Amino acid sequence: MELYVNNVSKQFKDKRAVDHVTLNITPGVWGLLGANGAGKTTLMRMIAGIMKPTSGRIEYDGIPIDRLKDEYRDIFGYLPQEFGFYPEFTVKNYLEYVSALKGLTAKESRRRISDLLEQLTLTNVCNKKIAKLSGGMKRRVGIAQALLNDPEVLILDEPTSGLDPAERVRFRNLLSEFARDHIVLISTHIVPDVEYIATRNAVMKDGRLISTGTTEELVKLVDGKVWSAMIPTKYLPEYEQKLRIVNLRNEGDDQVSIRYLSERPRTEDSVPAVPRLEDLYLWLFPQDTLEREG
Amino acid sequence: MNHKTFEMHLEAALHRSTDIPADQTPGPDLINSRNQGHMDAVIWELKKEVVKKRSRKRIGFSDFLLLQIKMTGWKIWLLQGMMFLGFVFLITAILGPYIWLDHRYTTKLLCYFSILISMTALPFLHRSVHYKMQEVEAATRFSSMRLLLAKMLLLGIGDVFLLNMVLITAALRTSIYTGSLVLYLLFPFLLANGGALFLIGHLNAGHFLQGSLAFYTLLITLVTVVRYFSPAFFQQTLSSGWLAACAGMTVFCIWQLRYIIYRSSYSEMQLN
Repeated sequence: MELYVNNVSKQFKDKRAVDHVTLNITPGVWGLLGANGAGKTTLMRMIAGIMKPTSGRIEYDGIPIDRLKDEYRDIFGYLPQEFGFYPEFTVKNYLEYVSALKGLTAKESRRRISDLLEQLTLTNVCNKKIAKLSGGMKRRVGIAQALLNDPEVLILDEPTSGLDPAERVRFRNLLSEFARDHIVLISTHIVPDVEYIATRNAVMKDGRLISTGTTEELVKLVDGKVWSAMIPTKYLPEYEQKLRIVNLRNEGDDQVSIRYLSERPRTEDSVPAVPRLEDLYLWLFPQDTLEREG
Repeated sequence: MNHKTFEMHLEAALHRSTDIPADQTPGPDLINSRNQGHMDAVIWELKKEVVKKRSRKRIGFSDFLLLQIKMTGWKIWLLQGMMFLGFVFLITAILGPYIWLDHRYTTKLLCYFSILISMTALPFLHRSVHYKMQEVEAATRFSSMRLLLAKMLLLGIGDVFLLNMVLITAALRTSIYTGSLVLYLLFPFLLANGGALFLIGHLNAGHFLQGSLAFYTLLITLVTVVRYFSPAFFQQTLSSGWLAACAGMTVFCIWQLRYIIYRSSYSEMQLN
């Protein structure tokens, strides 16, 4: 089982959203990281077959997906970044509607809906209107529809957005279990959500793939660039101007511990910190650091 | 699928790729003489059969259509009926109840009716985008295109019912020649549908609703202008010229439908 993205590009009128991306996706959890506008959603839409590449092709087990057509649609599940519901749908109605669109027989549809409602703890709300559910529950319903056809490939675009920490942990565990014999591709800019479960990651910037590898391999790229230090609280505004601070914590006694990114130590007492995937993300996408501070 | 069936499918795929008659078995010399492109086609066909073997049983389009009738078809027909009744009440409120007995207005009202019947499709064609369902729908087996066709079939059933109801009512209540009644229902309806189909195939989702509303407004305005400046237009019969015009519009509608299915990037346009 293998998805091969072969030199794929997508040109819109005013922008090249994906620029000659080549990626070989094998079973396991793949994290697709990148800032807003990096091209992740466009790439995922092309992998899902709902958008045609301007050039290049995507193959599943060696066959171009546009040749497979219905057979490809049968083996993948897709959760888009933004999705909604018809207002009259209850959870069960919605899953029945999507089951019909996925071509499931009535028997299989009933079986899968029952299994998924239980697996995603939605049984108690199955007859409730989706519009009245919390954000986290709506997201679970979205995940349920992606899993209806028991896919071999699962493509999830920002799946944990809006979920609380407990739900995110539950979701990560569900995906880890699913990914044993399947391909799972998650795009996110919530890095911790993939840091613990992704077997491999791909990083996108301005439409291009700038790096791929395991979490450990990628984190090595910022080895020696992550520092921690203690600074007096009164100097914090000054340091915030000078340094790329990725985390700070008030330690009391007018002291603040900071974690920052730099090629070299910028304070006398700076010590190297163990880098994380989030540090790599913020090193590659400094704009996100500014947005977080804002 | 059992092994024997799978073997048959593989053999069929091989014959499809190599253009060898079904009763002959391709020898190695025949395969070797093909160029690499042809070999790639053979390999792709065989791999496709392998993937198909892993596929599970799925429903066909007719079963899918029946499910759509159960889930959304009745809503479509209910709304079409309500919109139609709404228009009847509005006309009665503005022009008085005797408008329906005044034969001078019959053909003009039929024109307006047929355009409005065509317009009842708009809420359903735009619904997926309005409620952000289009991406989930596009990524399924039946996808945006076949879902659109299913919606059009359901809308078409409702349209035919309403048009026939109006025709029968007008034929029973007036002494106007039936051919004229058919003309003033059919031609504006085909014109409106042709324009709507053109817009579906050429406008992205973000502009479709506004574009369609503008188009229908233009059409209604055109009927109103012709009504005032050329009233003789509404005294025509279904002559061979008008029959040819209706046939031409039908061909245009079919051409636009084929364009949507085979050449447009309809699914992708729903994402913009």
